[in-house]
Amino acid sequence: MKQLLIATALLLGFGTAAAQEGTPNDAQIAHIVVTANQVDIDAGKLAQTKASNAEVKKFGEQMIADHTAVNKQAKDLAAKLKVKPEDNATSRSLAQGGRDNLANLRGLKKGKDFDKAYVDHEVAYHQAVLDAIDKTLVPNAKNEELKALLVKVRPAFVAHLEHAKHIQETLK
Amino acid sequence: MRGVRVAVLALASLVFTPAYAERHTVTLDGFAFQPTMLQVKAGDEVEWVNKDIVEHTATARDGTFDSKLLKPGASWRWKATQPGRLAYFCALHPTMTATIEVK
Repeated sequence: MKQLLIATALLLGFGTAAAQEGTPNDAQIAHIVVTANQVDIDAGKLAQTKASNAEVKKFGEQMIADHTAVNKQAKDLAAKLKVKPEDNATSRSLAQGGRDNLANLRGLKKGKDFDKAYVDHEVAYHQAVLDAIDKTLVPNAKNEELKALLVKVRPAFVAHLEHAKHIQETLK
Repeated sequence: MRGVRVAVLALASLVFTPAYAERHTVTLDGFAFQPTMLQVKAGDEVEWVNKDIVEHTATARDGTFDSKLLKPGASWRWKATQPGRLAYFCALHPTMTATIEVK
C-alpha cells in the first residue's frame, strides 16, 4: 500500500511540477533526462545487492547498464550542443521521488517484500517517465538533435516497462 | 584439345552456377530486431548490426546461434545451414524477439 502511495506521489509530483513550471526549455529537458536516468541507476544498484529473485536482480543490473548508456548519450549531446543541464522543479521532484523510493526499499525485508516493491515501483516509474517523454519532453524540445535523442531513447523505457510488467506478473 | 575442353567447361560452370548464397542484414534499433521475421535459404548468411544506443544480443532459443554481447556499432554474422524456424531474442532484453525461417 505504501508502495502504491509513493508511486502515485511520484506520478502526481511529476505532473504538478511540470504544470507549475510551465513548459521546460532544452536545458531543463536535458536535466530531466539525466535525472530520470540517474534515479533508475540508483534504484538498480540497490536491487543488485538486495534482490533475492534472480530475474529481479538481473533486471536491476540491466537498468544500471542501459540507463548509464542512455545518460552518456544525453550528456555527450548536451556537451556537443553547449547546453548546460538546468535544474528545475520537475527534475527536483523526480530526484526526491527517487530518494523516497530508496528510503522505502532500504526499510523493507529482503525477499519477496523487497523484490515486489522494487518491481512495482519500476513499473510505475517507467510509465511516468514515458508519459513525460510523450507529453512534455518531445513536444517542447526545440533543438532537433535533442528531440531526436528523446525519440531514440523512448524505446528503452518501453522495453524496460514491458520487462518489469512481466516480472511483476511472476511475483504475484 | 583436351585442355581447351576443360577450360570451356570451367568457364561454363562459372556462368551456370547454382543460386549463390545471399547475405541478409538484421538491424538492431529501438530495442527491436528489424525485420522481426526474416526468411533465408540454407547456405545464406545473416548479419546482425547493432544501431541502438545500448548493448544487445541475438540468441536463438534452441541454442543454434548466439551473437554474445553486441556493443552499439558492432555486428555479427551467422551462416544458416539447417532448414527450420528459429525463434530468437535479446538475452538482455527478453521482450525483444524475432524469428528466422531457413528454407
